[in-house]
Amino acid sequence: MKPSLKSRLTALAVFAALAALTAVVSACGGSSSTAAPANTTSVVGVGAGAKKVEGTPVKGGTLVYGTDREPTCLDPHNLGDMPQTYVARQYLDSLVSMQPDGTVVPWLAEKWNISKDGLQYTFYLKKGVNFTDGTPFDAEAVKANFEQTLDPETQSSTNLVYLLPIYKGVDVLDKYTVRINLKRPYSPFLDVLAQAFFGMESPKAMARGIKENCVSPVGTGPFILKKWKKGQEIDLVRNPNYNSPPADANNQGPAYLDAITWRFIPDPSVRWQALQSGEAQAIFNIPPEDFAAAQSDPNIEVQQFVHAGIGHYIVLDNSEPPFDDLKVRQAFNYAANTAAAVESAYQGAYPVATSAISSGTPFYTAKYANLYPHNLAKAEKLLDEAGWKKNANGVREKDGKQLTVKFIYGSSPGETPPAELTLYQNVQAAAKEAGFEVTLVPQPLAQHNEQANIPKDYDAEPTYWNCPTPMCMYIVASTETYDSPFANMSRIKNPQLDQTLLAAAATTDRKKQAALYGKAQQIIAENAYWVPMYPEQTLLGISKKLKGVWIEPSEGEPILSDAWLEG
Amino acid sequence: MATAIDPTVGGLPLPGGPAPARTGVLARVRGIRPAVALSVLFLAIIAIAALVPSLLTKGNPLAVNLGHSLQSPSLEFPFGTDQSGRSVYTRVIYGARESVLIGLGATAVGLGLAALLGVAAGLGGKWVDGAINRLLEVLFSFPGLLLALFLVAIFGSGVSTQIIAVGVASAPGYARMIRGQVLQVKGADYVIASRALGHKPSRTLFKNILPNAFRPLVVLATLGVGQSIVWASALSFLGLGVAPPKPEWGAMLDAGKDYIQTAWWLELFPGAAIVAFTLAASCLGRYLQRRIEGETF
Repeated sequence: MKPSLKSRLTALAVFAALAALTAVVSACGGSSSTAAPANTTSVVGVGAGAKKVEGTPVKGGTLVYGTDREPTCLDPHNLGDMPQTYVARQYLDSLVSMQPDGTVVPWLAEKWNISKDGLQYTFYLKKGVNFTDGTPFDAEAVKANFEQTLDPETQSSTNLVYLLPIYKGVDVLDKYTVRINLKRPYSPFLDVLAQAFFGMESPKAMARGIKENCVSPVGTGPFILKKWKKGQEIDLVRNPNYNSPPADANNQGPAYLDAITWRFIPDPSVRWQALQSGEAQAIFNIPPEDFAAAQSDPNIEVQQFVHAGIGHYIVLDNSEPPFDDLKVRQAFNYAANTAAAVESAYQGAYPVATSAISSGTPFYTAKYANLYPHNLAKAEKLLDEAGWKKNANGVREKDGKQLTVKFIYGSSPGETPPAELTLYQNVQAAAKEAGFEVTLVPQPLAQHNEQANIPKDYDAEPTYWNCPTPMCMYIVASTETYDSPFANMSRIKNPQLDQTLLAAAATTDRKKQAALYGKAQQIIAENAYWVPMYPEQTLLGISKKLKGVWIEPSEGEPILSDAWLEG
Repeated sequence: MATAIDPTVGGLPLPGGPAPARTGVLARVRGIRPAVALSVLFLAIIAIAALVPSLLTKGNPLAVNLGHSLQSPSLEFPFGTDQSGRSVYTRVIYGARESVLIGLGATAVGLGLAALLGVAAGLGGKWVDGAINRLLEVLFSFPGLLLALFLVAIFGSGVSTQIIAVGVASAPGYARMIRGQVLQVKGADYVIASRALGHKPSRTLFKNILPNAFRPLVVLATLGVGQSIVWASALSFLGLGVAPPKPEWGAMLDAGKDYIQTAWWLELFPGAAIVAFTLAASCLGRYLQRRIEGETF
């Protein structure tokens, strides 16, 4: 179920104009800007971007936004889990804002220069912006943010893995000019900075220490974090002095809404009922079983966004038997029958993924997608060749060892919705036909977070990596990130893949990038390093009374500063 | 010389048990009532399902058929199919084994622990009694389900953890009752008589005290099995029980709860199985209770 071509084209048309604006603004910087040029064949995500809205905005009112998971820390520089970025976007601004066409537009940075060698990024900052605790936003503040982001204490599985390998240092050139120096060229640098994970926070607030800042981070954003009622909701109120919206926002002043109640409703059907009953005016992730009902409900608008990045996939532990054998990995891919498994579990609400990266990622190519359509005969043949023979119970054996696959997943509330569990059981049953004995092992979250990074404790596990650039193939499959938590969980070591991706990051030539990123997708697909399942989606269910909501493309964050409540 | 006392005549009705109805409608109904007969019949079916499920269904509870997902009840699938196209009927039948195993196992663990604690408290003297009572009070201060959740968090989910968790959580209640029984039996005339006759303490314990103190346990156990299944289902419902794809009634309820508006059969049939089993076990339990208390013959 893809969004209609028409809505995609409208979004692109709106942004053609903004892209032109970007070109003008970045030209003001003086030197050649390498902000990715507009490219209509390549989009970041599908279904994102500000939309033209009809009607006159109304001020006031409190929006109740129902979402599934509660972050454990509200400062997104820490940990790096998706629920953090969604809420942080409401109170933090970033240096740049990303467009659906892969370009970036000014935000807290008015303009920027990139040196010819791609190693120095100079940002010229907006003046007269204050954090909501009164601290001025300036070059020193940007410096403090980069420093906190790179503090290993934050245990960030997002910021650290992006920045640590490439970051060299930061120079404050004057009060409103700051330069970031890189160790090696990294062409998606600006795209990465657009995510709320890299939102700018008050240095004064950060100085209180991670623990306190986790509870009450302070930004320059359109809303102010008022109170976090743990297990219940986060209360956000309008920032009346907001003067730093991104160039792509419809509303260039303070938010229309008085307040947002960011409520945690982990149970999907309860969340859906909250929207139907009017208790919430917007909900995150309509449950798949109610997706059709939501689409036909005249009082509800559905916004469907397909994230860029590595969609939901089954990690296979490449470092140990049985998946250290290419033939066994290929056999598992052929046997899993993911297309039918996803269809049955998500009933058409989710598309099927067949490639290393999501179809909403820049430089995605369909050429190496669908290399392993369901084919039991091929799976059986590959396993025979690999020396795994079926025993009387239909399970394969080799040297007295059974072909077992320990498949771990988090079972705490909200972690694995029933549809997801159906999907795993479907894959389990399909793989069984080829002779794989897949054991599903539910784990409480704390235990899972630990074991998820210890290969001897799993053979397979589900995960995903949302990111605005195909370069995150490097995060989930490089030698450099081999031991980083929640990064290369498949334990892949392939020098050819490393070199291909580093070369892609080193060039700003889009043709070369396309060839190199294409090759990386080929290497991953041919090695059957993992099993793609479906792209991550944001499915917003929005009451028709709530106008002007849109989804930004870098991480699918909902933009509520443009929204207003009618009636 | 005291008159001979038959120790088996002793024993007291359960403290707090329902008052026996000697008058009115109940008194007129002698023999086995239809509700009891139905309960026994239903429990027999469940017993068959738990022991030889293939007698009741030819299907395979794990057989995924993605072409048949979420079909409403029909002749082919009397209870409909789930998201993966598995027959809900077959899964309810096969789910009986896990559910009943947990119910019986947890009750056994609970009563076993309770018997140890209760007898020790009742016979152990002031200090032991005091210590055990404090321990029971601490355990009582946790809601049973919370205690079970705590144990699951420590030992991880699974059938054996579920049995232990539910068993331990239900033990304090039983322990209190057993302690009370032991104290009452200890002071009964026939025990005093047995002592006065010069019987060895061990003989008094095993021949007089324990049989009489434990008699109400038969009833408690029957009632407890139903309760344990409800608790275990609650744990499975919270995602802390049997790992999929194994069928278990509580886990089936959990897997189907988001589909209640679109596929009611996912909730109705496993839910009905839990309710019917608990009702049948309770009905039989109360019948046994009346029998043992000598109310019916």
